[in-house]
Amino acid sequence: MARVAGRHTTTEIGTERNYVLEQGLVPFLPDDVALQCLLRVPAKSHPHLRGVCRKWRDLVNSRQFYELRQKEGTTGRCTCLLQAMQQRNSHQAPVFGVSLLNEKNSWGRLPQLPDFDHHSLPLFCRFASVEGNLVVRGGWDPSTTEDLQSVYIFSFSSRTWRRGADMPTTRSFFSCGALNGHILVAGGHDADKNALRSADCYNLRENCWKSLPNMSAERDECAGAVLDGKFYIISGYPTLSQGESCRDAEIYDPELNKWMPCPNMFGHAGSGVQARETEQRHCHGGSSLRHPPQRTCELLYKEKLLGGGGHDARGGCRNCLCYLRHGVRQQYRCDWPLQ
Amino acid sequence: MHFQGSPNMAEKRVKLISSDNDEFEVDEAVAFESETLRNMIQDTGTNVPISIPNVSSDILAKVLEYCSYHAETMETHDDKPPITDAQIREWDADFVDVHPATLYSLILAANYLNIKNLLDLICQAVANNIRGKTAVEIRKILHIQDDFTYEEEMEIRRETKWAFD
Repeated sequence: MARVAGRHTTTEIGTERNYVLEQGLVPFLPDDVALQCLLRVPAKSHPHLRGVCRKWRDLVNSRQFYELRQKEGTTGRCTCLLQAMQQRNSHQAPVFGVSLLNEKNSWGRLPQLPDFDHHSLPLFCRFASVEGNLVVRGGWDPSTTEDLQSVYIFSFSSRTWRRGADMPTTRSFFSCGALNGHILVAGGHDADKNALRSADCYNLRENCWKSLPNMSAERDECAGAVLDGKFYIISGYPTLSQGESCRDAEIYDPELNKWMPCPNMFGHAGSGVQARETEQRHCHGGSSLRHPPQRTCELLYKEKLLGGGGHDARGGCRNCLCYLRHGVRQQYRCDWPLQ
Repeated sequence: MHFQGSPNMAEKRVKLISSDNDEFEVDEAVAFESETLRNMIQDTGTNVPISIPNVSSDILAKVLEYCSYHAETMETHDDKPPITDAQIREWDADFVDVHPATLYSLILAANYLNIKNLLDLICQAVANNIRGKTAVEIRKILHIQDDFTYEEEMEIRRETKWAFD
């Protein structure tokens, strides 16, 4: 059973070898030409490529291969959603997996999680993608509802799951985003339901975590997104005022390693929005019908970050959305139905 | 063998000699599709035939067919509508619809002659040839030796057990 003992550490652990091109990917073909051919094979066929010979296996497993594919424009995009896949009867815990929508507008499913500690993805886990990998963190064990610190990584190239170093903190209902090959997580609450100010950063290449500076406020159930090289943490609420989402946001600047305030992000206090938009590229969090007032929704739409607000305590629908582009806040009345 | 280039320009002609000593004569614009030939012509001029020792005549004929078609698509004629991108794509798709062995020789020629678009086209064709094929089939197509130990083979099978659900 794969159990990674990576705790809070800055030790450098190399997980992937840098592939050095040698002669002989294909007999009698110069390697740069053979490489150009292999870069054009879609990711779905990569597991077969890995099975051809040692050189091909090492190449396809290497990070360089992904970087070159990105440079050649042969990588694809897809949208991933966490879903309950099966539930044999109502007494059993549901098994969660990832559905994906690819660029050709067809749906598929990622392979099921193999048996690590449990074979279902955690309930309420969060994910972000880095360099052709989907990184799934935290959440609850679906059968025991215990908080998990586990990290699972799906490589779209090998189409396999592996364990990553555990998160340094127990954290549920946090937000995350991917920035420069790192995954940032912030806010949420600990095992005792105390809202968190803390933030951590996961380095996928070195499979290790390090702490980021604390945010200025506790932010449970906050929303987060990455835009213009910065990490936005929107709204959330502190331990003492459960469910009363605040109006502001904080912005993490990786170059300064600092959080910047972004006050009064929403015109109305409160959050929770159902966004319906056929063209949305990327949407997570939010949209739980059962708890609309307790969710903040964020989505990146046409290069803009949309934060959902509204739904005051009286259940009125004076909703508004605001969007940020290049750090400038703009606000407009929402023009699609909100619930 | 002669390939037509632009009829409305009195162009210089270039002589090329294949590995099996066949002589080809093309317009300079056609030869210029190849970076390698362009450099050679700029160095030595068009008076001396250029020998291409590692490309046989059947493959060189194919390559020059590609070059003359693509040189032609660059030209504008008053009396003919311009060739559309869709037409070019269709022509290219037909061009690479050949036996894998021919494709293999073409890729070497395109690489040696440094014809970027042709190289891209063939690399894509090779990729299309191996996509969806099993490792065993790919080894057969590209004459690759299986060098895995039994343990490595098992490891790969174990890892990819989940890959094809």
